[in-house]
Amino acid sequence: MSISFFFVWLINTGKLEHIVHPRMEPWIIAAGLLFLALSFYQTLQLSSAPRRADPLSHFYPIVLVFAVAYLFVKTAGFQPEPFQAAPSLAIQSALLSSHDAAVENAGKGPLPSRIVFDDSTYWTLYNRLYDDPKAARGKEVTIAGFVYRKKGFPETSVLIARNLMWCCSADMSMIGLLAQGPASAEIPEGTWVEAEGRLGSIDYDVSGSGKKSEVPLIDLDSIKPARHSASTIIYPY
Amino acid sequence: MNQALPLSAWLYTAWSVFETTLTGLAFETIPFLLLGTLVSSIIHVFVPDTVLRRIFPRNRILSILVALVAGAFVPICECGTVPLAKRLHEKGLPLSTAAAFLVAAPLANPMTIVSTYFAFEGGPVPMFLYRAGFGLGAAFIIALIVESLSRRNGGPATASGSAAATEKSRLRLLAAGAMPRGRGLTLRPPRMPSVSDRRPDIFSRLAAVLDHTSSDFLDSARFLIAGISAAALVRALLPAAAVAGSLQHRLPAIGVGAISAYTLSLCSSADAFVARSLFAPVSYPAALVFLMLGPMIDLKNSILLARFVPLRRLAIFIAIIVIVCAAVALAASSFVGGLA
Repeated sequence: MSISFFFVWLINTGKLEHIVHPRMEPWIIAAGLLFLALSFYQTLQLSSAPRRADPLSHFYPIVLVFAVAYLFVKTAGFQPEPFQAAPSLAIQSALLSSHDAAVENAGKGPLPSRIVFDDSTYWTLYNRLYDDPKAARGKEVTIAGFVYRKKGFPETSVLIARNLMWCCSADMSMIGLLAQGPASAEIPEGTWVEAEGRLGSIDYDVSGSGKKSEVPLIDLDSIKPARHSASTIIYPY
Repeated sequence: MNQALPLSAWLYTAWSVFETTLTGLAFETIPFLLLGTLVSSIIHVFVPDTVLRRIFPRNRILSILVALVAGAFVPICECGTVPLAKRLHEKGLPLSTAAAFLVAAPLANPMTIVSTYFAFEGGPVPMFLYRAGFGLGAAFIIALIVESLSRRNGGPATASGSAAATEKSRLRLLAAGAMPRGRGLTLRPPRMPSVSDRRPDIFSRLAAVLDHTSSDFLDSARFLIAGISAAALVRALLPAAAVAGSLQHRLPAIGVGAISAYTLSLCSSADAFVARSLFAPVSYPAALVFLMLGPMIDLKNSILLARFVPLRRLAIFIAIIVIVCAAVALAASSFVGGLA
């Protein structure tokens, strides 16, 4: 029963989207309803046949209560903060560009002179820029994200990043665009920023394998801390 | 993990990754395990063995082929297929058929195929076709090996004990409150119909479904939690460089792909995107083995399966899956253009 109410609370407060992809919501609702049905049924049966003697039956429910309480406390204070992790496998995999030699299909049309990243267009634009950095050279860009510095970055370079969630927080990874400019050196890591600049490209060893590839780079005109106006999480599909 | 970090920062980061991964995996897997045990209980209560025997032919090869296709109609991730496969075997289906269903269902799942299509869209390789085709082929080979080993060991190829041969004995078992064997953890025994009941009514059956769902779920959930904890721990500690530096040569790449698939324990509806970013375009054979092996078996499912399968047999089963998937990926990369 507590798990059911916990699921309902997560959905109502919108915190579920920080843990699993929104398309998982119907499954969570179905599971919550089933937990509720099972708990009501078991409650009704409490007065009937005697319980089977099992030492674990006294211990297990207590563990479950603590587990649910821990998850509740963890998610109750959940703020949409950046998924801060050092270069773990998840982040390395995210920084690996997914572009091949083939260019994105022509049906997308030409890029506008000013490219604005928002939640709905982020993934499409991100893929276009990484697939063909040359096509966006010279174009102006407006982007928001949190500041991330990888070990080895020059002092004036940062990654303006977002979290990418395919299915749940377990597979969440970080994506973003490299940016350089003197103003970025003063901004602490993890700060949510809004940045404007002009797109170029740079040869960079994204995968850490020693092989450089051409990736987009923002030559910053301005970068300043901003209030969270969007979720840190991008849901690509 | 970047070992150059101070220990305290490293521990904090590792804990952060562990906590986030554990929470995500819990929310991703528990609903499917619950739904899988519900479907398993419904099959146990409402579906007579005779119906299953009509669906799955007596011929073992044909039965395996039906099991491979049946997975397309079960849109549950791999966690939910474990209790289903167990139930099918207990209902009298051969071990090889249950094994075929277990490894093939997550691959034949439409969500898996669609996500693979989108992940590799625009690339030089139709990975969604390769994943489905080579994956189901590997599943078929695995099931044949299981069938061969079952016959060689001389053990029953069908479940003994709990499987009822006739409708009457199935209902007798139902009335007696058949429980999961072994260290079954239950809140209470299933409801016992009255002595005068000759055939349980619909309410008794529904009550039995809820009883079995509760007991099966609680029984499996603790192993699932242990499994996802282990997977989260590995994720927190796995060095990223181990993947990037091993993809230049085919055999090590396939090995890395297989180990990554087993340890990362990703959901089959999302692993295609991770495979694309981890392995493509450097090594498509590594991506292929990653995409075939992950849905079939991984760390969290291994611990879940340990609840129902003796450890020695489980280890053999895992070894069969790994070897077959690696061999299929190696063979495919030798003969299929674009995969090399």
